[in-house]
Amino acid sequence: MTDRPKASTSMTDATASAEPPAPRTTRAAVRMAILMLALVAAFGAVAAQLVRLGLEGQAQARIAVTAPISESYSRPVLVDRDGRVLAMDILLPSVFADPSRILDLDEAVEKLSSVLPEGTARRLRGLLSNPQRRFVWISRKVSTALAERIHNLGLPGVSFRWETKRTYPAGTVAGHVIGAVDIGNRGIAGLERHVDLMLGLRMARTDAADGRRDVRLSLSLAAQHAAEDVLREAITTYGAEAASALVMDVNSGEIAAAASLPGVDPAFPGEWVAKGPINHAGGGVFELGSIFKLVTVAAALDRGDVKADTDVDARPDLKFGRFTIGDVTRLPKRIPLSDVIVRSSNVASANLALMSGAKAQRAMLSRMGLIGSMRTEAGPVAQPRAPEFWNDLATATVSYGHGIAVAPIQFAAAAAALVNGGFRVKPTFLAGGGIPEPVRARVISQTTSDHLRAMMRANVRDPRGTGRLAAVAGYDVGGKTGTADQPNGTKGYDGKRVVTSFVGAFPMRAPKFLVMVVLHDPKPTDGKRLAGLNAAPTAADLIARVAPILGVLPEGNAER
Amino acid sequence: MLRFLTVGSVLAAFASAFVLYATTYETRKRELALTEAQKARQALMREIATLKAERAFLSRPERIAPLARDLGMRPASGRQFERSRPTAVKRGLMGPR
Repeated sequence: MTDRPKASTSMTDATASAEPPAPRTTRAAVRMAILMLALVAAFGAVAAQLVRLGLEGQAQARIAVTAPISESYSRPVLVDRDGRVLAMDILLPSVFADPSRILDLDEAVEKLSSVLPEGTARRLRGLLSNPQRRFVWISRKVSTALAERIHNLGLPGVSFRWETKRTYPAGTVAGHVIGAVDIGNRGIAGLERHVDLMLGLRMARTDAADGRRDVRLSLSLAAQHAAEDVLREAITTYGAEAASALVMDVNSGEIAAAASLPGVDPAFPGEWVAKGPINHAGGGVFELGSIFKLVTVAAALDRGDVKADTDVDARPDLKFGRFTIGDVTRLPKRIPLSDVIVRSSNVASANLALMSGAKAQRAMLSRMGLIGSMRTEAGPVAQPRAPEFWNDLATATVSYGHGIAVAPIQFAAAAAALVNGGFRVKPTFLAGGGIPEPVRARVISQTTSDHLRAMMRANVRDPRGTGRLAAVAGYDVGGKTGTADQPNGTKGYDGKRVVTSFVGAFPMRAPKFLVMVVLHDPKPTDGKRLAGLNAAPTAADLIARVAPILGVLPEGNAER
Repeated sequence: MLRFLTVGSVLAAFASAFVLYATTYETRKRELALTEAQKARQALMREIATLKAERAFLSRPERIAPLARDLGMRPASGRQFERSRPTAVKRGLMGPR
């Protein structure tokens, strides 16, 4: 009770002062004003932003710009030694469908069939009639024009995606070597396969660039085309069934041209992989005939069995039981060593080989890499076939290139060693892919190589030489011809079918390039099936065409 | 003082929310521009690749050779090369002066 009057007194005091209510109202009003301002500012900001976005356009959903392309790989560009494109990827649209979204199957099939190649209606109906499937390819890697026509059909459930497509702008040129890829752009043959093994597979992205550096080949597109052109003419002129030619750097082993006809189109592997057309330069082995005499003479010289001025026994009709070895032309009883090459004496060659013996011959062939396996970036080279029993008869026949079958590229590698000073050469299709000079193994002496070069040059220069038609003005060509009967499929030889070959180099004073030409089953020229009459002139045409391309200038005083 | 701090903080929060909001949209806008640029780059690269392939296809020897023959041209041969003669040096037209 005593408190009440106190309270009353205090209330009376407060009323009397009359101060508190006004400031409270003001403060509340100020707070409200601030709050309202903040709200107005916030909503104003949102409104301003909405107006701005409305004027400028709103950001859309993020688009994955590097979506991986299923089952498709990107590949580096293949270029020749001069940087010209041999194979590259481009992006092409592929058409696919979601059958569950197809509204009218008949309409879709009819419309798609009208723009796609004939005969696709039945396949399309089969593909699109199952709505359980959510993804079916309609057509892969079509042209952009066709894709546009399909797009214009306006079919729901039909869509597109980019895929990499390997293109070969040079067409069939070097088709055997370049190889092919499958539908997923994976290498399945030739250099394309090697590139996968060397660099690995890389999943394709929606951007066309593979990102890896171009793979520079040792091939020269111009030289390759020239070689194929020359071979085409030779096939027509001499009625040959097939032909191959190689142009190789004798020191580095880099192959500037590797032609094999009939050719193949790398863009359509289905057409040739199934049929399996042979790459005559490396995919098959052949008895190459007298070009093996180069190895025989080199072996005898290198072992010291003979000297360059030694005469060799060339008496006709060397007999081995019921087999007789003879020569095409009648020769003196003893001929100079160089005439084993120039006159191409089988008998003298056999006598040389017998002088050294089977073991030495085999050792030489092994050292030259002629009876072992070989592999290049274009794939494995066909395994050589050597005699099962290396008796005297085998030694004699092998000395002039019968009874032993090797791939031309394998022989070319051996022949390069004969003229480059005696160093082993590894054929390569990649620029800079050969054996580096400091680590090259010597297989014959420099002296032997010098003698061989002189003999090969004599064979082209000498009017009696079997290779005289290989002469090219200004290019100092040297080489050796070979004519070999073809096996008849049983145990003997077909007397009417031959393989003719020429292996040579230019310029012979300091060889830069080796050429090898092989013609399969040429028809007779002047009644004869001899390499000197068909393979040698073909080699001359080849050298005349490729030498300027490869930057080999003719000598001033051109002599044939 | 505390009230001013509170009010200031609220205003700062609103301001930063606005800035953040604007930045997000700016980022998205730039992202879109980048995406567009990347798409344009890819389209250009596709075009370049196609053009390169087309150029290589059009200049392939199989096509050029018959055209050149029709124009009377022949493949290069050794006869077209001539070594430079020393006469120019003798006449003092070449070499160190």
